[in-house]
Amino acid sequence: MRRRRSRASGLMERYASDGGLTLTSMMDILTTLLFFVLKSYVSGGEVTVPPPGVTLPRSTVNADMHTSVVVAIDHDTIMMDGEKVASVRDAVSSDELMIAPLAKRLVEARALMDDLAQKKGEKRQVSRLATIQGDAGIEFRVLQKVMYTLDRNGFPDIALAVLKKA
Amino acid sequence: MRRRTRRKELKVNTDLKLMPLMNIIIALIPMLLLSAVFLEVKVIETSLPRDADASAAAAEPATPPLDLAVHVRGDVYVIEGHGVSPLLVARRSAAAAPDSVATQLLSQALKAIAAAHPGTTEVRIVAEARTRYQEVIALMDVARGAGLVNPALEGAGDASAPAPSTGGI
Repeated sequence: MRRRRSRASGLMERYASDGGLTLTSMMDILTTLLFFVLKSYVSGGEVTVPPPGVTLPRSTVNADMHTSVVVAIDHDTIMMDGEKVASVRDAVSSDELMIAPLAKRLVEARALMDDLAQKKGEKRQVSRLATIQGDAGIEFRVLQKVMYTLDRNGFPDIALAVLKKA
Repeated sequence: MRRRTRRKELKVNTDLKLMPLMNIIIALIPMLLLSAVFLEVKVIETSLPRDADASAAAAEPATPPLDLAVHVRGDVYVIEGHGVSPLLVARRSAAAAPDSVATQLLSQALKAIAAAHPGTTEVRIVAEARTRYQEVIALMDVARGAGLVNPALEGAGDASAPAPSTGGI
């Protein structure tokens, strides 16, 4: 009887636990998840989010985005750097290829960029790149007018933002 | 008599204290997941043709250029070019992008033309005013897939309109 009791107490000592959780395996999972999220957070190049209401077209192209002036076009408005500058209806109804309010903003932006580059003493030419974030459903005539306006106002290099097809 | 000293066993808890680290990670992961962008935004680089290009184009070449173009018309795509017999491919005018059959036919036709004219990398996508942007991008993809890596955009029925051309995609 005594022998059995001592054996049981020995086993209890051996497998005694303080009741704490074993967190190591959970830590492994969380650490892996953290690295995955961090990797997808900045995947290289310029990371950008299209403005609300703009669904970019899908393409198989594989060129990364660069820092630039951004002109977004949705079904109603033309925006530059997040601010509304013109309406699509006005742009379409006009016979001119140039969109005057956008042209004005582009000239201002160009002057500001040149001024900053001069103050910084940059010798290399300032980037003349503009990115168009157009909704997949916009009409070609709107895109054409925006591209023309960009070209004629100091932004001859144009990038069309698209979503990469899976 | 030698006195036996009993060494007092010092119990040290060697377990790592993981809870503070867990707290940080649990706070970090939702924050990163909420702010992460999982959609990859890429760009198609384009530019409008320069005056120099226009003057070069104005010069009389020894052989007429191929001047390959894909026109988007009501219910057909038309592939045209010098020395190329016009090819019509059915188009669903209401669709936002060419369907798989049209895409395949266009791709085959453009590949055949590109193979017959080595060195040709340019093609004009002549879109109508109301053509959807997605359709234009899809046609540029088809052209690029066929080896015509410099697709140019042009508005149909507007000769004065600029013809932006893609460069080095």
